Amino acid sequence: MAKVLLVDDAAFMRMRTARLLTEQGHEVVEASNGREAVDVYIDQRPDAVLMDITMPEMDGIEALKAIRLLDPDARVAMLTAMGQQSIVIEAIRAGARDFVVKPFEKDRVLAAVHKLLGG
Amino acid sequence: MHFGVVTAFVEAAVDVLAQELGEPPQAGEMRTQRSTHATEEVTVLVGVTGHVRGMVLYGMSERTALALASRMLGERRTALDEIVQSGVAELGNVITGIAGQVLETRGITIVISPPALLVGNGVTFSTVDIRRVTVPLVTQAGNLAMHLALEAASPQGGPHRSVAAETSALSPAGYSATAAAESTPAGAGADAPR
Ligand SMILES: [Mg+2]
Repeated sequence: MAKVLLVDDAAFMRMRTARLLTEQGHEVVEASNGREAVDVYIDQRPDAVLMDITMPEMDGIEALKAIRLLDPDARVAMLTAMGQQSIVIEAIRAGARDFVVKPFEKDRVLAAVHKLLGG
Repeated sequence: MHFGVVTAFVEAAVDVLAQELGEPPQAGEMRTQRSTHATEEVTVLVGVTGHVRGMVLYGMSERTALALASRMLGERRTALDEIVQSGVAELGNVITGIAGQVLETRGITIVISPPALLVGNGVTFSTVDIRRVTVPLVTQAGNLAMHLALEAASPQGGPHRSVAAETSALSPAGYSATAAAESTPAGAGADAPR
């Protein structure tokens, strides 16, 4: 099982998604904005990251870029309500490996994590 | 000019609430008003910029907020704590985000800010003279009011104008059904900015 960093400004979303992941046996670490995500990434070196986009302080696209700069092998999937094509393209170009649009199906999130972990 | 902004938000609200609650809400009759807005017990505020700019407010009672969060989490919540507050804020964020996706298919791009939450009714503020559209949404978890204090501009340029004018083209009862019939602006999607 893996260590997954969950980044979302809504405590509600972190609780809901963390529950889903811990049920699957994953260890979950959390961050509530992009800046915190970068710090937690450095500190915890998670196996996979699920990243929201619309967040205060630093948004998820900026955090994705910062994390990929620190670790070019970082495995990040976006998990966001911002499913506009232009944003999906920007995220994929910046190195996101998957893009899940909220409101999400549980299976879709688990599939994204599975994919990130190379399964 | 008619960009289908109102119907995009109605479609998004119906879709998101249906998925979160397991049953679609009933959209009530829309109103337009220009007067100062007095908040409900719990109000989620989402800022919008781009081809559409202004503010979307989602108002509800505390009881509705608790019922919505309880349903979405699958467990009973009885206090308006951080989890419940961020849950209803996120609901507003997701509805606005999905409306952005619907609008993108019509060549209209929006950027949304992180949601803010106002707790305590009767907070008044004026929506900078933008005539707003109020859409009542009736769910099993209680009633929500979606207030669209928005103005839209053509992707080809030109002034921003209140989306309230769109409502005159919509029939009072079946307006969500008109969404599919709306046409895409000419040249849409060619080079819409982020
Ligand atoms: Mg967010």
